[in-house]
Amino acid sequence: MLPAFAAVALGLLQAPQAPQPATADKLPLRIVYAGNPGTPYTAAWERFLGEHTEAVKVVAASAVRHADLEGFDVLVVDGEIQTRDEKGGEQLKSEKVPLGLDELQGFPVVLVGGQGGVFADALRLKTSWHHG
Amino acid sequence: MLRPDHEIFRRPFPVAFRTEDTPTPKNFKDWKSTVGDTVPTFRVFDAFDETKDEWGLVTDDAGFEEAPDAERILGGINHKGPDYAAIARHGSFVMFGFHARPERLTDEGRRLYLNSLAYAVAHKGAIVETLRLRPNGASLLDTLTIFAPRLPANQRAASVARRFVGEEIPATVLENVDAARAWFAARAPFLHPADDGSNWDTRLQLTVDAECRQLGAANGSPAFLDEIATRLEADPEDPLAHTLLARYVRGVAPADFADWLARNRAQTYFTETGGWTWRVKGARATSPVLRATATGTPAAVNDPVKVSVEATDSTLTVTLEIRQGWHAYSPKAKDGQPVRIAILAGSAFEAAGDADWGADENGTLADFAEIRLPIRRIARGDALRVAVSYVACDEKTCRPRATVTLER
Repeated sequence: MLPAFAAVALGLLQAPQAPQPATADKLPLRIVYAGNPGTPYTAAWERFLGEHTEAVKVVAASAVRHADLEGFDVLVVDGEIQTRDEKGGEQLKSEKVPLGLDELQGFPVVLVGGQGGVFADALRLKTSWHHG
Repeated sequence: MLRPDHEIFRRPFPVAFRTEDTPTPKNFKDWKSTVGDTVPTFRVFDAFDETKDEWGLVTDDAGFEEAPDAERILGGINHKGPDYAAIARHGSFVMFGFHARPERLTDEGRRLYLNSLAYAVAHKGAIVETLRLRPNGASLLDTLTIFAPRLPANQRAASVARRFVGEEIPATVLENVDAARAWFAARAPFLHPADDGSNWDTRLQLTVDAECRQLGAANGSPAFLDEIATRLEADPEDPLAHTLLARYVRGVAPADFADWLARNRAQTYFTETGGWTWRVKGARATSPVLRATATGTPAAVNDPVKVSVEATDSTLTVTLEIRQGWHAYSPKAKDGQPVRIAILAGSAFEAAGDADWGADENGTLADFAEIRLPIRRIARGDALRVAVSYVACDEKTCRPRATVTLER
């Protein structure tokens, strides 16, 4: 459960602008994307990373194992944690990522948005929702 | 907060952003009155719809400046304050707090995202040295000067009491921000957490360390280390030095302290967020969270109980997350097989008393059950192996006892 004091730790940059065309920016990296397979959000990021990196493997954040990282350069932890009820009310869900700090010390990891913050909470990282 | 010269904006893809002057959000000014009327921004995503889109995440500055393992890189318009970071690094972990579908990325945002991946790879091998475990002094100062003043007068004392314990807060401190700063400044050198952090009701509270004040040196200052060394040189059994050494320079015996200080002086730093302790650069953080091992009698797939265990130096906290409709038992129960907790051989700790089961009087554990067992150190190091066994029951039946073994 997320601590109450973290509930408004939110960040964004703002203002509408027309979508920009993608460029050929491509990284020679192999990515493990731990998200929510089967959702449009994760599918969109799988496509994006497929276009801009050497390889992407999508796994469920709730089931990712250290062995999944073998042969890959970066772990990305991402997903959607906010849901809305019929009246538009926001609710938070958190998905536990079953990896510990010792398993990831020194391995490149990118923590995206609220799901990244939930994982940072579990690891007690300084990029967490706590104190945020 | 924007560090335009940071390499994350340059490598491998130049991020050709042009900043706009965005009106400063009111909450930024509430947080820091010195912020100007506008803040420089650039767009990472093309739009944000509050009714549909998921918010991103920012994190505060706790622990970033005090230790060499982390950095804040970029802020963002947010509901908190101007110093909160949306992009930051801790060891080999890079936080990209912005959140939307990738087709919404601007050109600058796309390159910034890709550069964040590359920046994480550039820090392969970088170690997390300290964690965000305890409240820092700045959190108390923020409460005194930012949060409490926003509250009705009759609620301010309670707000401060969540962050400080040990003496009554003068009315002037609650009424006047300058008085609050002066009050804080007089105590800041000697602040210390009031407990070990295992109690949710008191874990954010700081207090004045009377023994540190008696020593006469701020616990986070190099003079503190020198004063301890001086006292031990004069009297190797100096009780004040022994007490403060155990509290602030953990794992270093009094007899070894002079050598330790001579060897590490240039590499030491004090971390509040990481546990109000002196550390040596390059040492890995010890996670308070124990990890499940493959040993024991593993819980069945779809088991109604999830076990997690954390430890401080003085408390082992076992949390049972029990699915609705199911329960387990504490030793208070007249009937039913109770949960058992055992600290296994090879651990640097042992049980130091009876567990607080926090259960109902009938001994039923349900929902989130938190069990706290006092522990004490019996050996050097942080090794800790724990076995938690339980019998999960619903209204009709009980499952066979399962045992989960966790360690660090």
